[in-house]
Amino acid sequence: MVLISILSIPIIAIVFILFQQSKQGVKHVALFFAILQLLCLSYGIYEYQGLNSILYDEFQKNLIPNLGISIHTGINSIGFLMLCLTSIITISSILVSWSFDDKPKLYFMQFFILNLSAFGFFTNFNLFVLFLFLELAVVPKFLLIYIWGSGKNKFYSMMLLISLMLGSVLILGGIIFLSLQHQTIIPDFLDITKFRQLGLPYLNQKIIFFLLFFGFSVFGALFPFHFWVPGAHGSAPTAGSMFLAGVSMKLGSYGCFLVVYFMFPNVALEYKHFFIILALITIIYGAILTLQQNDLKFLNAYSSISHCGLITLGLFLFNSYGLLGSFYQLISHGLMSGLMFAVIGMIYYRTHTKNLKRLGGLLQNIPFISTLFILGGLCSLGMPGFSSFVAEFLVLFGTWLADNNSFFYKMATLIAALTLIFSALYIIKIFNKTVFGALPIKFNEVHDAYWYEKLAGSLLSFLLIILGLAPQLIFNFMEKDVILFLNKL
Amino acid sequence: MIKFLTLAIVLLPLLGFIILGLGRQKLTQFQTKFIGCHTIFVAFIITLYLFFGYDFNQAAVINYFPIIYLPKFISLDFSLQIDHLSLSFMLIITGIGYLIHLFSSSYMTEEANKNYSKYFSFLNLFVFFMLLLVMGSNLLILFIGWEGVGLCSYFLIGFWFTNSKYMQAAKKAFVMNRIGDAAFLLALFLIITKFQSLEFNIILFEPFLNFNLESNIIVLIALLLFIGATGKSAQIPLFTWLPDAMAGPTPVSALIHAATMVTAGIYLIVRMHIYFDLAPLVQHIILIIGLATMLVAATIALKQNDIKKILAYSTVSQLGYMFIALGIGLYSTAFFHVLTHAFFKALLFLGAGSVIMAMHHEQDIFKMGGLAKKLPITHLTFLIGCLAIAGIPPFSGFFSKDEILAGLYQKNKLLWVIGVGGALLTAIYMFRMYFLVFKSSYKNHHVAIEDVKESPFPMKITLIVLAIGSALIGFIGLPPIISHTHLLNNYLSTVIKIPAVEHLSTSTDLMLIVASLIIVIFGILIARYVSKIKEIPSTFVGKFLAQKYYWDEVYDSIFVKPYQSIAHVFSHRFETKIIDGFVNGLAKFFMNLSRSFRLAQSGNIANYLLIFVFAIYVFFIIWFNDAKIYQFVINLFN
Repeated sequence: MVLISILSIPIIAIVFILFQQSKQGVKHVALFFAILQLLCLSYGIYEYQGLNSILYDEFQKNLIPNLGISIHTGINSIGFLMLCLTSIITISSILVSWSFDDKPKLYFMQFFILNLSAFGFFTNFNLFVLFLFLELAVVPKFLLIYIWGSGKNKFYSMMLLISLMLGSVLILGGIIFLSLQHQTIIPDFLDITKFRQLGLPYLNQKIIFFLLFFGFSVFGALFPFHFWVPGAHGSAPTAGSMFLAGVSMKLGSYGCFLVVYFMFPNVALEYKHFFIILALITIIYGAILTLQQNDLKFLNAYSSISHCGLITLGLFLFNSYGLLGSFYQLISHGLMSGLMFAVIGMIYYRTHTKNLKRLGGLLQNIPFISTLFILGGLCSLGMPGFSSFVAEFLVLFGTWLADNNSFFYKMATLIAALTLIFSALYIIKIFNKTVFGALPIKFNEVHDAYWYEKLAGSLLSFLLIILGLAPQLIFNFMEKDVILFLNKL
Repeated sequence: MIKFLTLAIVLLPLLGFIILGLGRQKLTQFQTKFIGCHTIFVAFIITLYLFFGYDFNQAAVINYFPIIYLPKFISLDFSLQIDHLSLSFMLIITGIGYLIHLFSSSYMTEEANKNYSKYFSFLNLFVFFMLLLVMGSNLLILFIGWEGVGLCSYFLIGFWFTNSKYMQAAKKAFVMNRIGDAAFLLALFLIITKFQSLEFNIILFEPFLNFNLESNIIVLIALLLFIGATGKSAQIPLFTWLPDAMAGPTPVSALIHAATMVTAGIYLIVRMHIYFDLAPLVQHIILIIGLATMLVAATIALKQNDIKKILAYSTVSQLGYMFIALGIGLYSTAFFHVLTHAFFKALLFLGAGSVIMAMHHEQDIFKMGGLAKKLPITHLTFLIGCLAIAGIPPFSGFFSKDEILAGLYQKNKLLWVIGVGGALLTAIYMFRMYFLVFKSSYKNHHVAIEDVKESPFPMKITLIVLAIGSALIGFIGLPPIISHTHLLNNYLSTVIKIPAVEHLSTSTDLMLIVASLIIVIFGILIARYVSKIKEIPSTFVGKFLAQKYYWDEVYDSIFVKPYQSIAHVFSHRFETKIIDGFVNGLAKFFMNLSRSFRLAQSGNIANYLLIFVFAIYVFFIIWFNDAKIYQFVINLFN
């Protein structure tokens, strides 16, 4: 029941929004449904905890047996966490855009489509259905940037569309190639044994693996495929960037995880060094480029690339620390980048600039927003007490432990540990140039955070701190599944 | 009961931070002062109670809750440990911390109410993290505190955040610390891999059982820990942040950059000393680095004019002495110097703060002079501080420095000469400052001598208490020629194995003391002479020292410049080219494609017909492939 209701809530919400007359009404309806969704989800978590089975609300039905397309839905613990993340990002992005008055109906509808796509993605386990949900989100993202974006938004929205389509083509290619090999099988990630028993030729496995993995990496912004991220994040409206960085990028990483751990672990194991190197390049390259930026949003987008490199790194370690750290980083980075983009939006709304060179001394004028900014930044820096410290610690530790006798992993840890220094450099640079530093006179008359901004910001930063102080809560929740995934190898 | 009290010590400063941080818009200065100082004071009282009321010969480990607990894999707890070492550090942190809070309460009154609260909230937060650092019963808690104090240091150096130069200094401090932290984290990983634990009571006993001397892992761990310590304790090559950190308010410099945070590296090495004992190679490195830092910083201090900069370099130099002690394996002596240094350096910094306040924020010692009469208490206490740091008996610095020098003598006589040379330099730069500030004639044209007033009561009382401490604290570690019971060594012997080296003969010991005394007094005389010279001729060496060995410039050209050019290539050549190339290339591709398709639409019927026939032909070939038809056609043509 819970599953059906959380999936149908976005659709109902869209219908309700369509029939709203007033601009204010749209926001109220949107917020109401977003909160309702979170409540349903919480009830689901409450029930799930007493449950012994792996999946909550499991449902299975063959749709097109000849093509191996079936519906297999359910929520596992990782799914629950990702759904909570999506739901919280939805709520906070609605709150942040409370004063938004430019075609609000269309605007909020996009969010619920994005929400639906993410919810569908995290609760379904058939590769084809997953692909459908992934595709569902592409056009709303494009529209968000094209219609409401700022800067070179037309150019960047086209780029986003083309890049994501490229990713989709790769994934679709993989699926078609797979179907050509064996007409009836499209892997169902929970019933993977049937798929494994097919005994595909190893070469074909490799081809399909690379097609699918690179397809998902376009969404998840791995190194050579990251090029759409900065522009798209940088020119999207505030809530759009929050959703893009907080949830949409996570769909890609989650997809990568499924491909690696369920479909072709043997191929992934063979090429793990290659992917670890790619992840390391992503981490360092993203961090170096972050330092070069002067636009707050671009800066945060590049740092997101760097942080997402850690997720990929964790995936290819094939040990529990790496995997736990990866998942933790998924959640932590989602909340963190949500918070950062929200705060950057708030600053932009007041000062009309995102350029570091024109900002400064905001702590004096808008202390609340600046404090939120500092909290988000500290999390990005990996300060103990914030969630990303736990994630970074686990991933780095996992890298160190991955193979005791291998020089490669020790070097990898060393390189990945450079993020500690790089993130300190760029975050402190942002701090010094925005919240601290000399005070430009023109920003004197600005209002500090409004109630909705306070609410959204406090919600996100509170979660970051809770996740940082009591990681055990989350570990207990998802440990069972992580061990299960590792056993599936 | 201990469980509760221990937690209370840690949580009180945190509570202060939360109250002051949340209520900073509303609290008055009095309320802020009250909350900010008393949280630390109560923590100090509880620490004293633990010190006198309980027996910690066996370390008390108190477990609160698991932070990361994965069955069969790893278990990291939030747990605190109290033993003689941590208790000694707690006394320094809360005791001297309280005095500095008290001093700050009148030093910072010029600030607006909310900034006043902000100041105290961060000071409280700093004490919280520092306590966590020394009280943690595993390396993870230590690391959390380690990172936390670095953060607080950043916020407090950049307390006057509208000045971007100060923020630059704060950034430098934080980033340099971070470099050390990365090494520390790697050491942590090495230790977990080896022992499956970070708890002190496990990792500090197993090396004896499992490893031979100079096992590579132990050496690596010790080396990484030491690199971590160089960052926090401002040793070569990561020391340049500390002098810049003087941008913060003076009491902050006293608390963080003299008495407590910078000694965290020494705490770490003393705590993990078993590893260092097993790695003589690393001990040699520590000794060399300590000697180099001590000399470099002391020589730079000779040519500085800013009163706080001189004290900062002197701190670096004294930290060098502590590392020398660590390098020769005298761990409790290193702690002894931490203790005496905490007193006299806090005293000197606060005295400097008192002078700076009296001089209306003038820090150049050449614009002061003759303040002895105007600021009698500050003068007297400052003099005690100078005597203590120079090592004149019976002030505290004498005892700890003498122990280090005696240790050096036993190790190698040449090293002793270098150590005494450092003591000479110390005496020169400290008394040069003393004479220029308090003796000679008044030289400031901006502030009238009548405006120079002695500081208010809380500041005076702080200075007096610290001066008494600086004068007397040395008696807990009397040299063997006076007494054979070394109180401090006895106290710490439950934690630190005191090396059973034979003492020097009484005559040698006496000779060493007298020799170093003569040299120090000689140094004071030089300082008196130097301070009277009107024009100091500028020499190459002088310029070299005044420019701090061009250390920053060298770093700039080794690290910053190459990095910038790489980053420039990445962002301007690579990234933009890829993005533009990709998007434009794709667009061009489709344009060309459509152009070539457009040619097909020529309107010429003959062309269409040609394509039509060609298409049928292609279909036919595809069809042809089907085996049956293929056979059929073959038969047909046969």
